Amino acid sequence: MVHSSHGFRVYKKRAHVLIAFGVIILPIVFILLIGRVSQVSSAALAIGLGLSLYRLLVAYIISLVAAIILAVLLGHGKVGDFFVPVFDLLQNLPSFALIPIFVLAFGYTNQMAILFATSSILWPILFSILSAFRTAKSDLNEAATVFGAVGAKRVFNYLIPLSFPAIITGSIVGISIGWEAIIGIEIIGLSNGIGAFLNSAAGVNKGTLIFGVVALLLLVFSINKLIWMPLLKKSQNYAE
Amino acid sequence: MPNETVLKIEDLSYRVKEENRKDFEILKNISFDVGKGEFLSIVGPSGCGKSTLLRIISGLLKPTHGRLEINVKKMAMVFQNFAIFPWLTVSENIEFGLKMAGMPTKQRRMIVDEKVAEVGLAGFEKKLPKELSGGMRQRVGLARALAVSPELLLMDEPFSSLDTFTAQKLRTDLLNIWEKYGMTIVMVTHLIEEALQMSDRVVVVSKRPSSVKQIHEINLTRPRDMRSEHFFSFIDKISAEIEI
Repeated sequence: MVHSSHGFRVYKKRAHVLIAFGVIILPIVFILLIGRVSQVSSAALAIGLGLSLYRLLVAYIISLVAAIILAVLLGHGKVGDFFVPVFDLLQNLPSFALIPIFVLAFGYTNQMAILFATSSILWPILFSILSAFRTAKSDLNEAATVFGAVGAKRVFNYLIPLSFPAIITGSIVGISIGWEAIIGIEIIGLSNGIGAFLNSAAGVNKGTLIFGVVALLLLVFSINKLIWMPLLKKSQNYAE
Repeated sequence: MPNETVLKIEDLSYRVKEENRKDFEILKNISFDVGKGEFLSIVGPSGCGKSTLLRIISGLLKPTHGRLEINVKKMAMVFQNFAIFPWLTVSENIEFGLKMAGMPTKQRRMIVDEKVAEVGLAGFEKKLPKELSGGMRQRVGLARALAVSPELLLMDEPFSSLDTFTAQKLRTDLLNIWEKYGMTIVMVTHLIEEALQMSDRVVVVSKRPSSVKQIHEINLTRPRDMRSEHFFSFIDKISAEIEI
């Protein structure tokens, strides 16, 4: 009898690999092509995009881990009755209002940009997980308990799979807010990253600005097609 | 009376406190014993707290008053709406309890294969719950419970969400499994016929706050003829006791 893990079979279809390949290649070809036909430096554009993507990725990973930990520790039962309204309050703080505080602590640095993005990515993920916990059927909770899923085992074998679809949808929203935060802060105060690239291009050359925006859109589209769509499809398996 | 007691319930009560409301009592002074290897059913009107009683026995809820003595190490439960994990395949659902107990993969697989055959799920091992019919899902629920080799099997209206034919087939299958392993079974149901077909004793509970009204010894030979006079006389007796 076969018991092989079906965990990531969504990524193993040949058609998907081809699409993925095309989707990765597209932004790269585009950036290189620009370098050929215009005065925009391919290297500057690629480095700018890469740097922003790196910031986004780090902020996302921190947000994801923090959201799961907060939801698991403070998001349900009696503790949850106290903390969920607190989260709600914190979430309502406009993150741009926090910029001066972050700048005060870190200056306009990489850490500051990541922290700022984290402060906006965290919430959609956290609240998606919390609502998944809240709407979970009580008998499923009981079955997990009766069959021994307690403590850390409960987190990894019950709570995380239970909230997997919520983590995906929360992440999609979080990432899009994250892009805004990263690009916003790069335009406001940083000297590098795609936001700063676009900002300086705006003053110099319309063509450069357009190429920059298109490159960014292609990257966002690729990530969406490559990572989130298959995960979203997989998450349908998690519903009854 | 059974010689070895697996479960002893003494003067057990359960009340819940709800916000802005007075406490209300769900179970009141319940007492009964369950012997080793016995099949006991609890019948009562719907919403009377039968399922609450089962949840207290399983340890999911704590009684507010009274004593509960359980002399078994391994317990398992079958749920009315199956409560199988939608993200796990049939095999993964069945081995869930074993995995939580830390059993090595190889051993787990052997048990899964055995249970798959026993409850009639062969060929469905890699399917997800959403690909299965209600009857098949409950078979998974049953196999998941059997996999942990429970000495006490708790069943909460296990056949109520199924169509008549599927339910009848599953009842017969369960009786065969019970005869093979001889575990103790406590089943909650609102169907008198079901309780009479399956159990050694039937505990009739009243409506809320539930207390034990009567305990019947069902001294009919197995397999039971559900159209015999004796069977019907039991139905009449118990029906008269149940308040709606």
